Amino acid sequence: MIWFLRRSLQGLLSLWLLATITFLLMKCFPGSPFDDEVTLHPDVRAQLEKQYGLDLPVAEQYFVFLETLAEGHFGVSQFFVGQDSKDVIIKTFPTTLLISFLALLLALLVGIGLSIFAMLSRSGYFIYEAVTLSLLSTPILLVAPLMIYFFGFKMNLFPVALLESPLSYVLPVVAVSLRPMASLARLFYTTLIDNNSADFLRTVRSQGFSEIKILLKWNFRNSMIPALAFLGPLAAVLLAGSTMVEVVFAIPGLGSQFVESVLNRDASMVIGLTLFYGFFIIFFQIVVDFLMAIIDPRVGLR
Amino acid sequence: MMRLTVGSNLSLRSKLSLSYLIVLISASFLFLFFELPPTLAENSLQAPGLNFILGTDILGRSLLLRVLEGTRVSLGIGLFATFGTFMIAMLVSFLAFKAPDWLDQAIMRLVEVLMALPGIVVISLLLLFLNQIWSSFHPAMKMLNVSLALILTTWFALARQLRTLLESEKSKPYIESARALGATETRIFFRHLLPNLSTPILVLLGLQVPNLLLFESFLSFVGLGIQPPTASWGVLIQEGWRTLSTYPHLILVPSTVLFFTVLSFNLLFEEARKAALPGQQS
Repeated sequence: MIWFLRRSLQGLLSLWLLATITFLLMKCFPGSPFDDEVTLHPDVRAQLEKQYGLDLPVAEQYFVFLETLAEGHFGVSQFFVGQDSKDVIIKTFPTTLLISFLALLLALLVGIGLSIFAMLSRSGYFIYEAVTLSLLSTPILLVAPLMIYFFGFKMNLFPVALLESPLSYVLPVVAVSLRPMASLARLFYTTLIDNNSADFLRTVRSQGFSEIKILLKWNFRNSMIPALAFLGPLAAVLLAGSTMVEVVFAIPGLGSQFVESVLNRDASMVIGLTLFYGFFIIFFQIVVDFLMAIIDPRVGLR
Repeated sequence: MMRLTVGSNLSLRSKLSLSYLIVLISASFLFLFFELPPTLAENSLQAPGLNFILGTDILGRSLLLRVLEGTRVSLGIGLFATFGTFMIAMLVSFLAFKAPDWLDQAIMRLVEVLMALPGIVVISLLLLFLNQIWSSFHPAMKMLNVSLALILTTWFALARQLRTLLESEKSKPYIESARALGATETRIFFRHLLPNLSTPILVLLGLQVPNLLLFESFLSFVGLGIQPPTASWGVLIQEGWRTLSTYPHLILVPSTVLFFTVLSFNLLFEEARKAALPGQQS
């Protein structure tokens, strides 16, 4: 319990650091958000600045900023009047989360399958090496058009954009999962190889079990732990991949919303979404650490 | 030591990757010396053929020449940003090397927080910031902005890896004897540590390049990075995207070139990493 509190406190500290950095960045943005309006009466401008709290001294603005953050608001859009980033997040994040989660499942299944396949035979190893190395180098910008062209236009199997039916999740999820799949497979394979010569497996081997049984029953289970620890950093990779895929497939998720805000130069919205990303990833990391400690007591609740 | 002499100590896949990169880069510079054919409307959207080896795009420009121009721009950004990343990471790790312990710890904490964010998000935020500060339509400025955004968001990962390398190297006997002979910390860092770590550092830098190339292509694809008519791989993919259903080769050629370049860098430096940093995971 004390561990949990300390870990959360650490997370809060990182969040505060992140919020401060983004606030400073926002303050450094040149000019006022209302500079683009061609002719703005000074009174109107003053009124607008008052409405968004821009007339206060910077230090006070900082505290107001932190206060609204604590209430769960990540900032108001400067581009669309009255659009709060909280509403945007609530509307779009479930889509992103679902895609990332499905991609994670797929990556785990295929990645682990691939690494076990590599353990079984020499030719399996070559296939694993070729597949993972090329997957690691495959840009989403190559996979997505290829898949859209062949499965969408040529064979008419899947819809190529938007999310209208369960089928339209297939292509985006596969596209997101490819890179995590390869890195998971490589990580898992190295752990399997390392464990393969460990003492406890030598003991098991001396009792005369078959290699396949040793691999699946003992080695496999003990190799799960590093893969699990990798899930924390993997969340960032998945969300980044999801951002690209959402843009390419025109999916209304958090990532495409983010890119749109960037293109609109909607600074406060962009910063709000960045903060939300940070919040989610830090939170996820704490959960993963906690799970690790439960599964593997050796890790301990440090 | 890693030898880049084309010799028998390179494996087949490294030789292939190296020759691909050399051919690509020299071709992209070779075509600087040829006069560009005039852009004619009747040449628009031609299939690959004798006149235009890879066909033409919607405005009638030769796709081959566009891809080669894109190669110069994209690879230029990738390599320049890698160099910049190295300079910053080296300076920071030098400061951390000389600084008191608490400052070292503070820098590393900051780095950890920044590394937790999805890369593409931080880069977009920074690029938005840079484009706001000095917006200019000159292509060189755009290239500089993209490179700066990439440098400022990737140096910390490298700084962390450098620090790990330095930590394990600085307790070795030859450093101690240098110190015993009265060498200053600065001299130890630049004259002893850096030269002795040059091989692993080179490998880390090489593994950095593919990521930067992928980021650049995505930024240009969504319209944040390089702007047309300047070509980069991202710009070309974006242009080909619009005609995907009817002229797929316009998008497949640049993205395939991107794929093979990233693959070559990965193959080349993955093998070098195995030799230079045994027992370290990617």
